[in-house]
Amino acid sequence: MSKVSLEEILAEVDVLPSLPTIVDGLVRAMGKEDVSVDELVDGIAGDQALVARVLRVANSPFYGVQNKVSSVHDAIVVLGFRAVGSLVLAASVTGYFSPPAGYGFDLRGFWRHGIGAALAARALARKVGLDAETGFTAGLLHDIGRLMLVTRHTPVYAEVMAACAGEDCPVCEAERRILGFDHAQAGEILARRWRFPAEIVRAVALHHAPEPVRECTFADIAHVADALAHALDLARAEREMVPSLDIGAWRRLRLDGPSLTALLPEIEREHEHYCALLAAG
Amino acid sequence: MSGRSRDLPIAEVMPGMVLGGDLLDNRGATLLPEGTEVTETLLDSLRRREVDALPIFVEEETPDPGEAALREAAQARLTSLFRRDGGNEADRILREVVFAYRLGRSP
Repeated sequence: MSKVSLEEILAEVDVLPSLPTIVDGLVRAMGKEDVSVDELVDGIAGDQALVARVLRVANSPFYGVQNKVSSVHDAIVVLGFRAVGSLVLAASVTGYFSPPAGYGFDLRGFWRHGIGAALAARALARKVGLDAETGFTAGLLHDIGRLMLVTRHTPVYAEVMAACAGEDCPVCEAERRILGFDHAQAGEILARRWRFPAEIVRAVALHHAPEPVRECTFADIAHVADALAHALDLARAEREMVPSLDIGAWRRLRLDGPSLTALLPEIEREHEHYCALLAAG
Repeated sequence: MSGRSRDLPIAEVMPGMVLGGDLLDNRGATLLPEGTEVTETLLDSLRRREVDALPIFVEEETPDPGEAALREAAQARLTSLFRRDGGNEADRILREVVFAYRLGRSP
């Protein structure tokens, strides 16, 4: 069985197909306020599947809009510019990797978890006053390294999955032992290659082990959001397991029983909705 | 049908109720056997004899088996989800909150 090294991952992300132009634009616009609505509208309008998805969200009963939303421009008015942006990004990224079937990788479960973490991260970011949509993207992409590994190095990654199942251990433990690195490192390389903002790259890199810092970061948010999505059993994975929490990240998010309880119903309600939209139901 | 007998004041006994035990007189002799259905005529006669309470059969309140099974399954799933307990304060709170959220009470 041929193994893969982190050096090979570094080399191969350069030859991966690039993200759709619109997503590339969105990524660079992320965190900036001076992106024009027209640019976003034009970018989406070129892709009929994206237009349909955006309109489906804007017209869903979830947002309680009285009149039918019939254009991307109106959708931006209803949902907000940034929310349309993160939705388009989610719709594009979820279709980017197609791991081969037959190796027991649950792609639908993967995205159900990613969407759950995205929604949890958005709620947590709001709670601590950080940018909600950056939180959403950090949550959505936190495990993207796993998806790249299982797609590009399927046989060796199947060994990792078999080890996890056999020993009932967290996936990153099996990855480090079998590959010599984990999906957070692979994901960091990919997120950097896709030119995501540094705070998202760090969130992907550190979501299993947030750094002991003073202020709350998106790595803290991705870390706790990941645990929440597991705890709510959103992927409905057979061997689902809640990881242990980093106490530092938990404290920086100023969470306690009541504030955590208050977040859960909304995350679950939004989750079904987003999974249906992104066809990960 | 599972159930038990409960002494009910005669004023609250209605025709159609069934005795959950033998009705005994002062000397311990059986006036009416368990299983007797109460009728209006019988009630009149018992009032005349100044019987003030009757052992009435009441059905046991058994929880809906479907609901109980669902709850048990939910509890088992939660226990499995949280099988890797890190044991710090944050892990404990997350566990408590999610158990309470799913089951409507603390674990």
